[in-house]
Amino acid sequence: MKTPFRFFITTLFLFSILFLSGCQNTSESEKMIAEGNTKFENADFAGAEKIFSEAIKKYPDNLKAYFKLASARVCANPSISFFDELMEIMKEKPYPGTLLLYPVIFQTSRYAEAMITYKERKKKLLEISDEIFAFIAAINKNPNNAKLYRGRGEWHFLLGDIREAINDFTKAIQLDNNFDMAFLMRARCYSRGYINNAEHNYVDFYEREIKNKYNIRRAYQINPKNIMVQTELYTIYRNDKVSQEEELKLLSKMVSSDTTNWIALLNRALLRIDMKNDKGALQDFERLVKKFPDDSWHRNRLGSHKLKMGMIKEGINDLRKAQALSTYPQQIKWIQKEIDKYSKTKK
Amino acid sequence: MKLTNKILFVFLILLVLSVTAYKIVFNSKVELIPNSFDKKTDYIYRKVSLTDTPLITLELNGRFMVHFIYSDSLFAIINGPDNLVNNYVTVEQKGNKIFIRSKIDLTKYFHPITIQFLTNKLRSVFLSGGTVASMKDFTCDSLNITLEDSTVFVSSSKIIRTNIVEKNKSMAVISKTKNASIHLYDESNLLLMLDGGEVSGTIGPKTDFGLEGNIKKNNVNRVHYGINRKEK
Repeated sequence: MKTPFRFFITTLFLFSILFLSGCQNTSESEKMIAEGNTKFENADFAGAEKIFSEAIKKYPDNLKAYFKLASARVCANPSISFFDELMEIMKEKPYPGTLLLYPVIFQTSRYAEAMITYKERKKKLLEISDEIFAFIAAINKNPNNAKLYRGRGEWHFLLGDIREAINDFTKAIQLDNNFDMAFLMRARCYSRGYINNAEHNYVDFYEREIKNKYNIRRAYQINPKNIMVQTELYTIYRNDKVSQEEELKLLSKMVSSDTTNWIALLNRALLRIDMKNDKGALQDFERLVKKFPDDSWHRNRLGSHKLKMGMIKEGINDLRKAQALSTYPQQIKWIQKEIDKYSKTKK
Repeated sequence: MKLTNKILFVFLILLVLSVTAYKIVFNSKVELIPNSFDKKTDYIYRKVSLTDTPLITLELNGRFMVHFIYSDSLFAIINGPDNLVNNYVTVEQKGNKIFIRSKIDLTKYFHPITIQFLTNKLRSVFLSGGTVASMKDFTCDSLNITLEDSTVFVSSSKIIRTNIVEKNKSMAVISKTKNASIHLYDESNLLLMLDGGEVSGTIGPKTDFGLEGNIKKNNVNRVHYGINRKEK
């Protein structure tokens, strides 16, 4: 009688030791998170950000803290991109990091299968942390804080709840008429659309397209220097085939707003060629080469453009440099052909 | 009771029930709504001629897709699945007013009903019920636009004066108009691109209003719970 009783007591004792030792870290990290949550609920976003950053440093395995840090950061700095910030925070954690990306659904795949993929992703994300609840608690305390609605909208968007996201971004806009990021995100909601497109007809697609344009234009009106807005507006310009002058104006703004935006610079060079502004295009190609001296493609484009402008010697020189830099056999072959062709002309 | 009698009895009950159900369905005024999953490909065109009157008011109610085309001829073309166009879209003309309405909610039908409205005499447009409309290269002195529900309207037309009234969650993008008078209520949205003229009016606290282009004078006031504030 005594032996099983002793065995039971010993097991219970050992289990309680194991449980307590395992929980010590968790409880401490949870305590930090609770402290951060309190600050977040009281709209002290910078304070919450600090605590969540510390929690990640101390307990890097607590995934909840990563999500909470993203929430605090996006509310503390309303001009940043939530998704980029979240990806940056999660770069050390490949598993949930990859989960954040929208699953790529090809047109050929069946809707039923696609919906399962979306649902599974959402379930996994919610298993880590349900940030929506944290935002609800904060919104209850600060019902007129536009940043909180924007933050909750971002999470809804990430989880694929587009209708809820639109409602939140709309509320953020109503509270702050000059919230460019809320306009941008509302536009993205319309452009990415509702995930279950089967529920929608052609009128919905057309309506969403108009609403997307409306929101992008409003965001651009508010903050023409916002690089993300500029990029989205450029896509609209390309689709709508606006006048070349308007496109050039926007590209020039994009180049001046962000000197690292080489795609805008390249697009401007190509547009200038279309507009028969060879000198302007040459300047852009030269800037690209200056920025990326080891890129064979930029050097190649510069060389080819110089040849077209009649600068044979300089053009061939650039092509030779591009050939030396290139690792693509087809490009090397093509450059050689061009050099041979123009060398004959030169002679 | 014998087995054959039992079968006969059940059969009789079923017959009585079926006759009753038939009577209820066909004698009552309940209309049988077409199946939304029936993706019919039989399209029909219904051409409606409009009376040549100097002032024309158009009232549309329903989830239609509408294109206004500037033309000397005067008619409307309604295009869509035959079961919907024939039975559930009504066209009524009273003097210089035209009403096009849908009897049922069209949002759940995959194939849309599109309406092309060819005219050069349009003076007033009233859209509701989630209509999505576009107007391009129209020319007129004055145009009144009233939008309700979740209606969306895009216009890029040379108009000297546009009067816009928006309610509920409607949205409009109006460009190339010289002058505008606006009244925005509820959660409506307006993006106005003026062409060298003036804009005046009032907008509600929850509305969104964006103004760009060549603006001579901006006299738009946002109403904040009874207090008027000038919109920047």
